Amino acid sequence: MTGTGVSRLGRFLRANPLIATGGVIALLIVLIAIVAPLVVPYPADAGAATHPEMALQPPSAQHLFGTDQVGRDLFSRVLAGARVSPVVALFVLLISCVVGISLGVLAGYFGGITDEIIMRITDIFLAFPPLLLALAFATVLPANLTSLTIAIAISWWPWYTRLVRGQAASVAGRPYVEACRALGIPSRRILLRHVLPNSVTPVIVQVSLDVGGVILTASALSFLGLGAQDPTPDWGLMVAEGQNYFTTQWWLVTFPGLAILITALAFNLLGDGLRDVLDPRRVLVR
Amino acid sequence: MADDILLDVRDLRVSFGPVRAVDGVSLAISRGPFGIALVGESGSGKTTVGRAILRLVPAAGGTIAFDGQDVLGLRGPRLRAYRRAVQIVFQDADNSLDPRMRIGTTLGEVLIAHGLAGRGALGGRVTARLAAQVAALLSEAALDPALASRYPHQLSGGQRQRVAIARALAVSPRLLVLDEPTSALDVTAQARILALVRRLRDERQLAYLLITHNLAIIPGLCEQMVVLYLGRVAESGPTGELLARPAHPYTLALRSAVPEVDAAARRSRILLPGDTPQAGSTPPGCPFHPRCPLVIDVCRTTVPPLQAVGPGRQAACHRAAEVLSGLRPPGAPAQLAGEP
Amino acid sequence: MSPVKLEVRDLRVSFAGHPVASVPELNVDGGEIVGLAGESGSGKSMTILAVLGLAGTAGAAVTGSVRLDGQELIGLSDARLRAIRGRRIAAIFQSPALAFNPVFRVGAIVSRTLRQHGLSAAEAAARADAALRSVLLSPELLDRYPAQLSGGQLQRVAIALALALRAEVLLADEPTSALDVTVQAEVLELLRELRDSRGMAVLFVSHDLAVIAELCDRVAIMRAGQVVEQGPIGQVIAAPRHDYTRELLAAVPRLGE
Repeated sequence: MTGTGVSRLGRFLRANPLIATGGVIALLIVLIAIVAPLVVPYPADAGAATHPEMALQPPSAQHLFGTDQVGRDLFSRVLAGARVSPVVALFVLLISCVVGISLGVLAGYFGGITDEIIMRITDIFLAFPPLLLALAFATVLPANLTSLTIAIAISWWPWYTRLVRGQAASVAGRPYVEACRALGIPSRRILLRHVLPNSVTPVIVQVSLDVGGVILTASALSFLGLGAQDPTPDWGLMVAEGQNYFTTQWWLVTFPGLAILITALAFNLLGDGLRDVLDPRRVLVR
Repeated sequence: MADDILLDVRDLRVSFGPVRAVDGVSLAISRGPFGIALVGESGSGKTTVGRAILRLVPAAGGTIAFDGQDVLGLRGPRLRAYRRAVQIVFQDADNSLDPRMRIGTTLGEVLIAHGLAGRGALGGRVTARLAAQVAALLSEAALDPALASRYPHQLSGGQRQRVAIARALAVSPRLLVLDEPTSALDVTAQARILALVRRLRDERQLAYLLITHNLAIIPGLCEQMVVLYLGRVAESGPTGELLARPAHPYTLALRSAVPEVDAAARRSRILLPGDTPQAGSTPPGCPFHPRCPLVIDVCRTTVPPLQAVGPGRQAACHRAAEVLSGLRPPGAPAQLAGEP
Repeated sequence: MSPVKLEVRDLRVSFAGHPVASVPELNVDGGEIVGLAGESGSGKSMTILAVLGLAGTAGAAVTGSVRLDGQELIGLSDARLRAIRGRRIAAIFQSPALAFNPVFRVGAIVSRTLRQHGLSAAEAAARADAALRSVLLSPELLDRYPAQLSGGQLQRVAIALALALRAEVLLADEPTSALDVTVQAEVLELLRELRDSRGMAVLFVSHDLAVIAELCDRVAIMRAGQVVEQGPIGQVIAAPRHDYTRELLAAVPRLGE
């Protein structure tokens, strides 16, 4: 980045503290995910290594977060976990967005029979409690992270469809869309250039709120043995496994739990800030 | 002369579910330069007529012919061609421009969609030619070409409305429908827009349909006028004549209700009981009879047909001839101040 | 009883240090209609809010003096202002639908407001009835929900409420801008009657100079938060002294040619 580019970014971040905080933390998490295998003190512990003799040690200089029930360094596992839960959340939300936005925009703009068909299918999926639906799909698929991602995505996309459809229907009725129709602008272009950009703002906020939710859903399924399997350092799995030791060996649950909390918070802040920035009516600090 | 007619609307009917918003409206728009006003209050159906002409709402009956060709059955490329010839400027200037697009992009989009921007601009690339065209459109609407890089919220209401006019002109239409173009604007912005329309009329030989509830802006802009009430034509004819010697009690009341700055121009108010009715609650007989100060028995039972009451003038009132010769509601002076 | 007097002196309304309205002197006496004319952004609506003591809730800072029959309103506690608002100073706004909570019947809203100002249930019902009749509405409209009434009817109910409260001052912020012209004519006639038969003091805000010219006895023209000219209506229109007033008058479309 050039000198002026950096200073503009600096001013931007100072004027938008929400984005700054959320963005910095999220960036940190991504960074950790990338470099984790290289910087963790006990790389093997993030994998299959076990050290039963060192089990359940409290936090110390050699083991910053303590050790878990089979002696693995919790610090290494938590950091390595940045490559697991958030990535699952990323893919789940990506799939949900793509499917949800496409269907939602089509249903909202065209209305009529298109809307009916899409929304009735969506309603069928929405009728099931999300966890139960994900559970049902997870049981028929082999128990691994990919299946976990697919199972949760299947139960997650309908919410996005409904969210986008409402917004798209509202945008479709707005005077500027009607003006485009009157001007003879083709539907495809109206959808892509007018309806779509004006319909995605609620999705951005929803995605940021859902990061935490997906991670928790994934942990519930992992706890039931349907998703990440030991030794994968999934945060949710670590929380589930550490439950029994909660009152005495508090670090087993606390540190992975904090990781989930901070991740969810970071994306939440980022989402809030992004929503404000994306509103062109807002006076941006230049 | 039939040759002179650009847009011929006959017996147009538009319904929204059970509500008949437009119930048999006919009007003729001559080739430009020409201005005709469509006047009415809420529930009159005037906005719906404009939308039907633009094919934005489906017509339930009647015909619309442009240059002799049927309009209501058009589809595909022929509909697109029609949309180059007939354009509309909406009332809501604040919301008729996409808030997320810059002004230049909004204008360029229209040019590209109709293939007016040259092959280089396909796919949205901003060519020099496109930029020049956008600048020309903005200048014609008395706007600084530099506004092309701004967003709608950075412009004033009057400027936004002028952008909307520039956008409508981008396709060089022969007929422009202006739907309450100044209702949401301050009076100085309104004056500028009206002056712009007058200028465009001369420079582009434009024909326009001015939809408004404000009688005061019509003289000087429109030579013909059609008054609507509850989806039907109350009366129509040359503007000057209609305003000076109305043939329908509603026109009388409407005209007397217009507030005037000059004390000398003021008229005695004819106050109509009740409120403007909502479309869909049409009473039997003449739609205006529940509020009409000159109502007689026949009005309650029989719908008055639209009949000629003079050269180029029509009115739908059982007592049109009497009104024309000076009949006034009881209480109103025999000659309203300001009448010749 | 001497007519009511509303006196505004050196009223200044500002948002975060930016002045939005500044009125050095404005008087509204019982039995007259004073107009506040200006385009959007002129500060006329903020002036009304400031007189009502509601500018603070919008985040504005208000200095200066607004005296009702000698009693200073600026700086008065919320509790005392509430007693005056509605009871002595009533207000109607451009969008009457906004003033009525859509989930309650109109009658319920009216009677509750009346009872809040100390009337018994029976008195409230009687006054509501009489007030509606005096604005030429049938009292059976009280049984309807706001959505079932037209804009003109709702505006007249709002005026009826002011009458029922026996308010002495009526602040009207663009009350007819959203109404059809024939309905507007009726509401304006109603306001004239309030002035003549009840001796109300009316402050009428509008961007429509023609309406102000017809209705008001005196006018103050505002532009960008400043009062640029004021005086008796005939004088301001026939012999405007400020360029902006001339500009406004020139821009008003005239039908009477």
